[in-house]
Amino acid sequence: MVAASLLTQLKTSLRFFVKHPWQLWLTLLSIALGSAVMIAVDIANQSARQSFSDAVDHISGQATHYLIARNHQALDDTLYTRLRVDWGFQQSMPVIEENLVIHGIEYQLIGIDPLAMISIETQQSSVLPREQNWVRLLTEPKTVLITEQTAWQLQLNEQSTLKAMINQRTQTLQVVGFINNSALFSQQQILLADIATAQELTGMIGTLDRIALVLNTQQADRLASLIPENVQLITSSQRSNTLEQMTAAFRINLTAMSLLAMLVGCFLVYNTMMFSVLQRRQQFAIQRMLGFTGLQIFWQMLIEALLFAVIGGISGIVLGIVLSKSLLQLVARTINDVYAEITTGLLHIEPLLLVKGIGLTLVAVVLATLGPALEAARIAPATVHRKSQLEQSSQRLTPYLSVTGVICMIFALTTLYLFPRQLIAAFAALFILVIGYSLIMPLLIQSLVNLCSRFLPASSSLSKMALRGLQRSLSRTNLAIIALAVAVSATVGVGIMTTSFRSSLADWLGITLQNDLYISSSSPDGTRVEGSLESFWLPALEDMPEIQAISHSKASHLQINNQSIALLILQPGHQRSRGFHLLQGNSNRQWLRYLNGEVVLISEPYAYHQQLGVGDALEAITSEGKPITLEVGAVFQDYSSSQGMIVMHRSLYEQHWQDRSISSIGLLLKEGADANQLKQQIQQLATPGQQAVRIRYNKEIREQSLAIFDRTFAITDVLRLLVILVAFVGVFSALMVLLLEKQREYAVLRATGLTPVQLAQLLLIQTAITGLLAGVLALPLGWLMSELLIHVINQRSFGWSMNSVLPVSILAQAVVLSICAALLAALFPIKRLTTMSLSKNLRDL
Amino acid sequence: MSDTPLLTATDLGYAYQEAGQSHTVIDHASLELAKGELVALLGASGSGKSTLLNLLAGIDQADSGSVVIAGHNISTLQEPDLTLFRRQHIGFIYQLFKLIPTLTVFENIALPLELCQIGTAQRLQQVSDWLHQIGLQNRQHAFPDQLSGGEQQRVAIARALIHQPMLVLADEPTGNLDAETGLHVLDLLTNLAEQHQQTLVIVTHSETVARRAHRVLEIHNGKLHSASSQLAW
Repeated sequence: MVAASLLTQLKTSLRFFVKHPWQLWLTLLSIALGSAVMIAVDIANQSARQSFSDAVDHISGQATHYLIARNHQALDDTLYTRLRVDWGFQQSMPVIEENLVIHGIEYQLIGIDPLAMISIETQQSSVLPREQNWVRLLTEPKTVLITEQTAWQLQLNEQSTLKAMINQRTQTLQVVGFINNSALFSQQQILLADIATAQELTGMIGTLDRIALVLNTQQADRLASLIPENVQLITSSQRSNTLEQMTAAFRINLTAMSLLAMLVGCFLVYNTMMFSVLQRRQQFAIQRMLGFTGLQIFWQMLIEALLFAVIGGISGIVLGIVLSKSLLQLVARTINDVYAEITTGLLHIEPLLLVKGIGLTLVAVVLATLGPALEAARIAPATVHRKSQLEQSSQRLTPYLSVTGVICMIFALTTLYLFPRQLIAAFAALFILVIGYSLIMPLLIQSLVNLCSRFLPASSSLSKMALRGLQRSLSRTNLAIIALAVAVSATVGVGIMTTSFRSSLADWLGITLQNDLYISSSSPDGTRVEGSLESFWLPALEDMPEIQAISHSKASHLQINNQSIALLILQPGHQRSRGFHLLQGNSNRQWLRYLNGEVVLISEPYAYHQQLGVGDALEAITSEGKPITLEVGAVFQDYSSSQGMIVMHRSLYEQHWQDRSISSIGLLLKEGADANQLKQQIQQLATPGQQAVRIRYNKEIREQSLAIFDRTFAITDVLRLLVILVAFVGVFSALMVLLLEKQREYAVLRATGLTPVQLAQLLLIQTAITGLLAGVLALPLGWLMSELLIHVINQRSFGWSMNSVLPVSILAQAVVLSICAALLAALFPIKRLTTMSLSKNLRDL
Repeated sequence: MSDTPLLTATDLGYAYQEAGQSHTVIDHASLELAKGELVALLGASGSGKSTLLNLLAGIDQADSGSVVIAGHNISTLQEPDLTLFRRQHIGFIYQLFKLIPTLTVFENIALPLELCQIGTAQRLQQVSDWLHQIGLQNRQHAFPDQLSGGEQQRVAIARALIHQPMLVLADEPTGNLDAETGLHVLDLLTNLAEQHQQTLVIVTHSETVARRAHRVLEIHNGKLHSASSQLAW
């Protein structure tokens, strides 16, 4: 029987929203968009992670360990021979991975030894087809196996040829069969080749990316004692954790941004539901008068919200999947630029992830509805007699909200203080800060509106009318203003952070890139620094009269506490500390100690993550396996890696390592020397057909670095836009409902003599003030967010510190954006109101 | 009409605060209502008639005094017991009808029965009977905004009486209707209340309504007086 009255309640809800279709659709759209952004970021993150690990993991079957080079470059393939022949590890397989492009789509080429593969794969996971096919991988050049999905996608059969772009070169490949168990690779786009073919195609002659092994504990211990010092034995789980660890902060940042979209979505749901309560105030009072309890009304609201959340959430999944395709490209590009090479891959959609998305949407929507539901439950039956006293009651609440807001903000700051290094705590503080400021906003809005009314010219009656109208309906417009302000503040906050970061990066590049020309050893395709420069380069360059100073370096890795950390062995060309912005240990004495090989320099991220400072000791392992202690001489600013880096003087390196090679040379030219001419001379030194080198101008590197930075933040810009879109839908919805709700009042104004143009002006002034208020109030919150992002979240995520820049253009853009969003959102309702039927609306009075 | 009072209100007082000042609306009002009695409550606008109805129904809480209905002191009842009591024993009719706009005529009338947990078959039967009694059997699927004022008020009457509450409170039920329709509605209301032996309190400005009452009360400056002797009708 209770169910019968609940059904009747839901019937009233349904009919209410059917009568207010705009409200219904815009509420669903707000939820769907908020949910879609969150789900899309999750899918993109997950897919990027999968594309790093899955393919090789499937092919490696039951591999338990991998051998990789300590300096993260290639392994010498003679190691594989020694492994199988000399040391007897038969369950092992060499692997090469490289990206290639076919018809504009990125694929992963995996080179393996089919004979070795049989020794390590399981029956269930066998990927090799019948023998006559895979044997052709060994006997015929440039042959590959493809998955059935790839065959379908590229319209190929088991005998087709295809053209692929590998390292900027076009290669013709012969398909000799389909990979068995193609279903294992449903989320990857791969081609399988023999290791020799892969070496030839990728230019990695004589080298391997890694060796996969099946080992028990004893075998692993034995192998660890046999392998050379520059080779590392890692477990398969360690390998898959690598990218996980490297990109954790990046992913958390993206997730936080997507949660911000959800938070804005929550404001909008709160707004819509509260609005629907206000619209149904009389109805709820009648229900209460008839004998419905407050609890029954509360449940009516919650069930309404749950239904919205389910429909919005399901639509969010569909939208999210569509959106994630674009986001994945941006995420993968950033990971490729900054962390590690991955293929863009296909979307990896785990059902659990979708369940999580729907679950979070449900929780967020229900939480956002709690306030309106309580408000509805509190409606007294006596209200049935009374006109709305909402304005007075909302004004009475304002001081309490403000005090709660201040408490929230103090709590946010306390959280930051109590958890000085936790990234999650920093994001929690950011969200609490946003909520706290939102609670203070009604007071600020009231004060600003009062201030505006004081300064309005006496003659402008239309403006006064607009302002008074706004004052009277503040309880209804507040939430729309707050939602828009929060969304715009995200734009301001992230905008200031990005500008500050870019400016700090440009300054850092200015300090770091002190030379005019840089020569580096290059990968065969010339796209990345790889290997070492040949020994003739240094003496040849020293003879050139245009060169004032030569510095050189070698990029390597160092083992500290069983962790591999990037090492730069640097011989500066001049004795001053130019080239580093020293944050700690900035003294001549420390620099001289570095030049004498007594101390090393560590980058700021490494110092932050490892909690190291000047004078601390690092326990490292040399190439001969001997432990050495390195003293930290200074901490320098560095944005090249969020994992951190150690810089060691060449003299110190040569005391403990046999390696004498260099990978980069920096040339400082004499005053008046022509860099272009010198570059041409240097290019002539490089013998054709020998090692590839890259010669780049200072400016070129700077531009490339800034381009990578811009690409890295492209996804942030996209997410910012999405947050604004969510807010725009909310503001549109709020204004639409608000203006249509007051159409009877406007009908009276029209009947009294206001022309349609004047009515449109009145409404435009009102919405412009709404937008202006949101824009102005977004600025302090945006600035606060940027301070948190710059000085707390970035530091905790990446270990980077940077200077704050406050660009006026971003602040001005925010206010303009806010006004435009409000005006744009109001256009349609205004059109409807100015063309409404006067007689109908007056009759309804 | 029985001699045992159905409702006893004793020494009711109610005031509200405005700009730091207390304004008395109901000043030590006491009354008794017998079962099946029809009482008209007169008074100028703002004299506190509607507030008194709210106090009698427990919708507003009196500052002092008590209201006892059929032996239940509703002044001491807390939520949700107060709501449950009102649900079963009190019916309301308003000048502006106060129908739920998103429910049909049938659903509006059936709502009190649903809340009182009356079984579906019985509910359907009762609503059909009442639709017949108010002459709206052909409009049962219409929504309130599709009805005339008189029709809406007839639905409101059916909704107020269908679950056979002991007490029906009507706040100017004909105030929003033309004279002829008002008369029809009044006939319907008084006849049905009489038929079901329900106590009816009608707030009104209308002489016609007051003439139908067994007793007339008047409220002036918050004080309640018996007005039958003063009426010259």
